[in-house]
Amino acid sequence: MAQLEQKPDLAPDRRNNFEPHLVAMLDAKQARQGKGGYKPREAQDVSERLNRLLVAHGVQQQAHNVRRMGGGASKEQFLFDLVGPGGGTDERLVLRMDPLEGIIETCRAREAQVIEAIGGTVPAPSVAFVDADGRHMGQPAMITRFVRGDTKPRDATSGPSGVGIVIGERASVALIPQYLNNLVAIHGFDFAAAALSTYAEPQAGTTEAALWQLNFWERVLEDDAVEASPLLTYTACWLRERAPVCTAPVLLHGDYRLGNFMFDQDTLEMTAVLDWELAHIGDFHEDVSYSLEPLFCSRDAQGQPLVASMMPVRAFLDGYSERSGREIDPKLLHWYHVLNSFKLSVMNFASGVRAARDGTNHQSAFLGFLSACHVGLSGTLCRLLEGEAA
Amino acid sequence: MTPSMEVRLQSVLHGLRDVVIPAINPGEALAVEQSGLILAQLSMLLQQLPYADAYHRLCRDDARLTAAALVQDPAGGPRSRNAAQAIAALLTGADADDPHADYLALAEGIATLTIAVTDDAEPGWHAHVKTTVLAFSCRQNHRERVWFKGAGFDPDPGELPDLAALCRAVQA
Repeated sequence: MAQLEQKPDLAPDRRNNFEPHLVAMLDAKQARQGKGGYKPREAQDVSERLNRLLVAHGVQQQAHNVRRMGGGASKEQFLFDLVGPGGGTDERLVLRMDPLEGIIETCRAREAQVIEAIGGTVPAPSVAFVDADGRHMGQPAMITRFVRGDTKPRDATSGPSGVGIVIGERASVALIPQYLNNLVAIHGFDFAAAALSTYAEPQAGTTEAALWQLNFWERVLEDDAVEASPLLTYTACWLRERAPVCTAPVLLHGDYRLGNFMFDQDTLEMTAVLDWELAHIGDFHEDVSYSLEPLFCSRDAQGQPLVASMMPVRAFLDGYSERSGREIDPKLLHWYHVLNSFKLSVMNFASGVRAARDGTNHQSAFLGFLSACHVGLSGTLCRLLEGEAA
Repeated sequence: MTPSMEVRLQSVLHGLRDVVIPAINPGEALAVEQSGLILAQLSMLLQQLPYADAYHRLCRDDARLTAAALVQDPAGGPRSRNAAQAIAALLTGADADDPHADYLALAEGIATLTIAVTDDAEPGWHAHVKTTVLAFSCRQNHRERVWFKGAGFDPDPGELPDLAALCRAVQA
């Protein structure tokens, strides 16, 4: 874990005042913007590159039957079989590879570190190989072992990226305790003792946890927006003026919601918490409020939101508090709810639109369509901010 | 002009729906997903096209009124005053023939002013700017939600009018 040196006499540069690893990552993204488009990878090319990677790792088996996986809003994903010299399938693996740009810029090495660290705490995919700089795959990539399970009930429908999934009562009864327990377990993880060299810890008892997040997403907005948004600018100012102190930073998943966990259809046991690319260290209210975003909730018969399409908001908040022993501060929850709506709006209003416009992603048509969801997210912002002003 | 933009879009939709998409190998997951989204995007464009000019005028007109209210009595340091002057210049130089370009320029000016007043505006004007910008942003968000209602992402589509009703006032 990298520890930042305090330099109280220096006026902090907002554009670079967050985790050093993430500053370098956004610098690299900015440097490659405007330098050409991205062509979706073909299975044959992926297969050849995978085999070169396997040789470089001294692996005897070969990649066979490489095929593209559906879903996913940010990474190219392929499934393949690892076949031994005898010709039998030894293992099924999943390749996640970065396009040039997408709705979020994240780091495969960092994602692999947190997955490896958290594995014994909550169910997570296990990492087989990492090609952090893309020397074998052409783009940064991570390969994990295949996990059985689904992200939604067999008979459920959903929109893109797990949005709009509706879970029935039977599955909800079994999944609610697991959803809460896993979130509590992530927040209780001893990150300081883990091998997380690409992560930095914001200082407890300061506003650093809040401001690092705000600075990161404000920079993304500045770098990626193709047009100005008075609302997002207003929101960034609002957040900065009210940045709260974080007393005890914890490990956060950063994208904890329905669609980002898998479960067994028969036993209804959660088999993996997925998509750790936005994990970071910060205030637990951030993860808790993320689940409240209306985009990730369904509605009950009375029109009330169901967190993760399974439980009323009160039941979720009480369930989290009871299990974690943490008291939820409504003011902090509100601030982080605004931050999360801001972050999700920036992804879609700025990064997604830029990637769709510039053709720097494997699914430009998808991003061009998905980016329309920023108006609903901005609607959440308006409700939250108007409520504050009233 | 014949064929009109609507007819040209319709013809593309026919070709995509009846010829191209059925010919895609169902095993090509990316092509199947992308083609469905292209179809949905083109259909949404076809619905929006007749209202595009009226919609952009609505947005531009509200942005102009908002901008004018923001710069009425500026009181603060150089950063805020410069941002207010830039908006005032936009208000005198707007191009009536391109409401969307006007809106984008005004939005940029309003965003710049929003940051500037945080730096060096006097408290009264600061509060006025913030209140006015939030109120405008919420009205603009309402219009955008109507514009993109057809995409199916809105958590409360039932509370929104349709695009024709939104634009009717401008067309009258």
